[in-house]
Amino acid sequence: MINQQDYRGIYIHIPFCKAKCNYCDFYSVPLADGDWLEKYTRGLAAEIQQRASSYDGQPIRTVYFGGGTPSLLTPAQIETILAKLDQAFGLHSPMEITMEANPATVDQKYLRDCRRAGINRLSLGVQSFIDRELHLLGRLHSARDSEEAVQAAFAAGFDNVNLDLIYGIPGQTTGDWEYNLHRAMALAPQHLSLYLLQLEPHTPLGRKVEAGQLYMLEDEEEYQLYRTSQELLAQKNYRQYEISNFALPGKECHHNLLYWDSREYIGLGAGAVSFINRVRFRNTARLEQYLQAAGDYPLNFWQGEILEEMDEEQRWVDAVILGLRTARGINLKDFYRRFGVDLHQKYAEVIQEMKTGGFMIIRDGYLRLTPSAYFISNQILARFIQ
Amino acid sequence: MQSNIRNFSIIAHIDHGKSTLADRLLQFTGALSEREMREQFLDKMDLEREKGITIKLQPVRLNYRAADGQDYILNLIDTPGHVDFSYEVSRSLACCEGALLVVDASQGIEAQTLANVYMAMDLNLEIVGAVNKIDLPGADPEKVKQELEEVLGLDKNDIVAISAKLGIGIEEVLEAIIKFIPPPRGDEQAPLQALIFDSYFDSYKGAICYFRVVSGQVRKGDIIRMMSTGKEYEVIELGVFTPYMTEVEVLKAGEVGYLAAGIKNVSDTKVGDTITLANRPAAEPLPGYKEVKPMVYCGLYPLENNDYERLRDALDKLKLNDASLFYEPETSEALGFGFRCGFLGLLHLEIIKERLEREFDLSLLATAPGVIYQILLTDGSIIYVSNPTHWPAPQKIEQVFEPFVKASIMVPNEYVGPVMELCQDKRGIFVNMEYLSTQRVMITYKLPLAEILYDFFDALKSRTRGYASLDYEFIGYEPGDLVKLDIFLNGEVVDALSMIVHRDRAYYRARNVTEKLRRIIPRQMYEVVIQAGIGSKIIARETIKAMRKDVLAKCYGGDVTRKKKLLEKQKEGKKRMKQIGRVEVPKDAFLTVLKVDND
Repeated sequence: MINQQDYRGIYIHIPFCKAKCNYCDFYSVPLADGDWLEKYTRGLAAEIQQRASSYDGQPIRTVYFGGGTPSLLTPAQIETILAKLDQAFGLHSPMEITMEANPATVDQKYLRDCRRAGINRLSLGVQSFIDRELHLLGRLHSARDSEEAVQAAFAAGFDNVNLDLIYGIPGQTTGDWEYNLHRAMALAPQHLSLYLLQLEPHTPLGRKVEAGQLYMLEDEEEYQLYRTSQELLAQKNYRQYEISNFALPGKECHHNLLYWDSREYIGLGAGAVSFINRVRFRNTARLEQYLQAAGDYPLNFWQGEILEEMDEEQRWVDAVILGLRTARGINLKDFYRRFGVDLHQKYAEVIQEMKTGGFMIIRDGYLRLTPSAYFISNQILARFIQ
Repeated sequence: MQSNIRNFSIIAHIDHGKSTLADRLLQFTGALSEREMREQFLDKMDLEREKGITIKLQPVRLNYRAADGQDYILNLIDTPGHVDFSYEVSRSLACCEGALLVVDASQGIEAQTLANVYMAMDLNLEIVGAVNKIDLPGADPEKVKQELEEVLGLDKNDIVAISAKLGIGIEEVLEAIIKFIPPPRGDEQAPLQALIFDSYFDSYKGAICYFRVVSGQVRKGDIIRMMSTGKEYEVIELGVFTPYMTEVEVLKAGEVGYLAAGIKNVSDTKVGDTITLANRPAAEPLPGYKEVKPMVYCGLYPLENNDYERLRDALDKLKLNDASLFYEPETSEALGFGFRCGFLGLLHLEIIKERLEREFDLSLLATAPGVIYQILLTDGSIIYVSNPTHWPAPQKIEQVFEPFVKASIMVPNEYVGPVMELCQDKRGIFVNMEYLSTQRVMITYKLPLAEILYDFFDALKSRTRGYASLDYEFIGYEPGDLVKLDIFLNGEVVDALSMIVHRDRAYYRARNVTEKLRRIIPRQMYEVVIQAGIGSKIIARETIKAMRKDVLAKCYGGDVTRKKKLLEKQKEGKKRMKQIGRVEVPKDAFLTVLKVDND
């Protein structure tokens, strides 16, 4: 078990995709040529070197390769990056090292090599087990590909696998969603992330909805899908530990918990966000600029834009709105120790009202939302904003 | 000197072109250069320019060399054109010897205009007629001149035909003013008597009085005395409006101008008061104005409770140049501390509320406007109630009396049917119908004032395609079968939403209000039950289902900042809401509830 006190995480952004999904408005570059990955790996190495030189030495306990599509990296590139991280920051067991992977890009050999390179947790972007839905989302893989990828991951020796699924897809019925959940659980992954489809206006999907060619589900229907997930997953011992995340006991994602615990993290790569010494900033998202900066070492090339410089109050407000996303909730004593704020007293009225309404409880020293409140949690979180 | 002064008002219906004509007069007399000119120059408030209506033009002094070769000073002291402000008309008219009547050549004279002209005639003012917008395709200047001759007894040959928009006939208007309106006749050597017709508060100079010198003269440095209070001040600044405030040394009988005298207290410059000189006071004050009584009441509450004092200060300041504004502190269980305010009408209410919000940066909530009821109690005593919260229990009421008005509606004859139907619907009692010409009819009804408050004007306009015009005057109290309708949110009465309605309409109103609230109150974390009832009897009910979705499904390291901003925005949105019990009610709800759409 990872000690949860005083640790940081590292996020590595791999901004390449074979093709863009219909719902995605993240920055990514269509990958035409493997050379880019080589250059990018060198760029990351340069940034790691530079960032480590001013690092305060707090232990690193999680590494997360996100994207984009990190599974476009070769095992050798992964190894290079991890070796560089170890050398620069020191990666000491127990470490959680996650990689996101697209089911269309992986086979058993590749996954075994990734595991050898150091990856010990795999997050597969399955999204759906219904081909019609995959097509609508613009995913390149089929339901069958996903199943094979999960089986390959287990065969390759992974014992900590997450599947990402999307619900609220236009046309999705409760039956469709139950089918997806059953197919997923039949594969026995350790972890499931269920995301409500978020409509972004400047995506192909967003434009279709705008044009009236597709219809998003009603709030009530989305809520029913959410409740269905909570019920079905609980029956199979998947515990909900955050608004959108479920895991078998002990298989929660520590990297994600670090975010919700409002801990600091180092973001590496083009467009990656860091939160270090109370400043949240984003590296330049433009690939050429990022790589060029890597060449101009030792410039402070990662500093694209500062998102937030937080004072003490902003720090603890963050801690509240992130901490309340988790099923465990906020340990009131720890919170007081960390920020010197007695939440129970400061928000006595709000908390009392929420308790009366059945939206919040305080148990064993933790302040938490009730599972039925998650889907309207913004209403509650907004009340804690100053 | 006085023989070359003319003091006049413009009487016109809204939209008949008063502001445009004023612009032309400024241009023609050279008061403003092309560069300085902007549309509706004399509309002081942004609000007026935005709404395209003129509540009242700023006073202005025009220098004009007439056809006879002499130089004249023309003082324009304006009157407001809306029915709410008829008392202001009398106060402007009292400073003038004549009035310029502007009538739209395609519309003819309107009810409100007619009422104001009668008022001017009562004050012995000379009327100069002008038919405007003769350039419009539907214009029929001859017919309108004929109408003015028939209805008002003006000589149609003396009426000027103009187009203010195109600048046609402007010189003729000026010549007619000089020819027909008599010069002022005050004794310059007599003790000073100057009538305050308007005033406003300037944060640097203190209260500034607008006045007309009726007799005597006033100079910079003089010690003046306000005749109603006896308080004395030294004149620090004296001037005229060119239209900019321009200082002068002396103002004599017949002239119009302003003065500043370091007057700190807003209540010391009462409109209608007489200014005299301390060392040689006049024996008698001028007649002044009759006190106006507010007709429409509502509660005004600051959305932020700690803005209460600021609201009081703001009301004090507005009261300075708006004697008709009435207010007293009141408290509401739902809304906290606020003021019960009395207004001349709905437009007046709306304007005051908007001015408070814009000029004083206040966020306000207005409760449903209502009238003042006279209630005879079973113990024989009589009380007046304007706030439904103070309505007595039904068993204590012997009889309720409500204010009635005599409403005069002027309308082309093809709309007589719809107008009478509307008046009937609004519990009106038919009084009279009179043909002003072959096509124009004046319909007179007795109507409960409360009914006029509920969208009567909008309904009238929509049923007559905008052709009807309305004027009304208070005539007294009459018995009415009225009850108090309460609104409940999740079982708790919202005192600020209670209203007095006629028993026959209670059921309809209850359904209408609950349905409106259902539409305007956003979904909340809890189910919200809206009910309407008389006493303990519930007569309408609506439900707002609990909110189902408001969630950030994904929130990881990279986008915490963005997500937090969303929550902050949401928090901001709550500022537009008033928390009533556990229910968040948008502040507009209170006015929206009132608007009843019959059509």
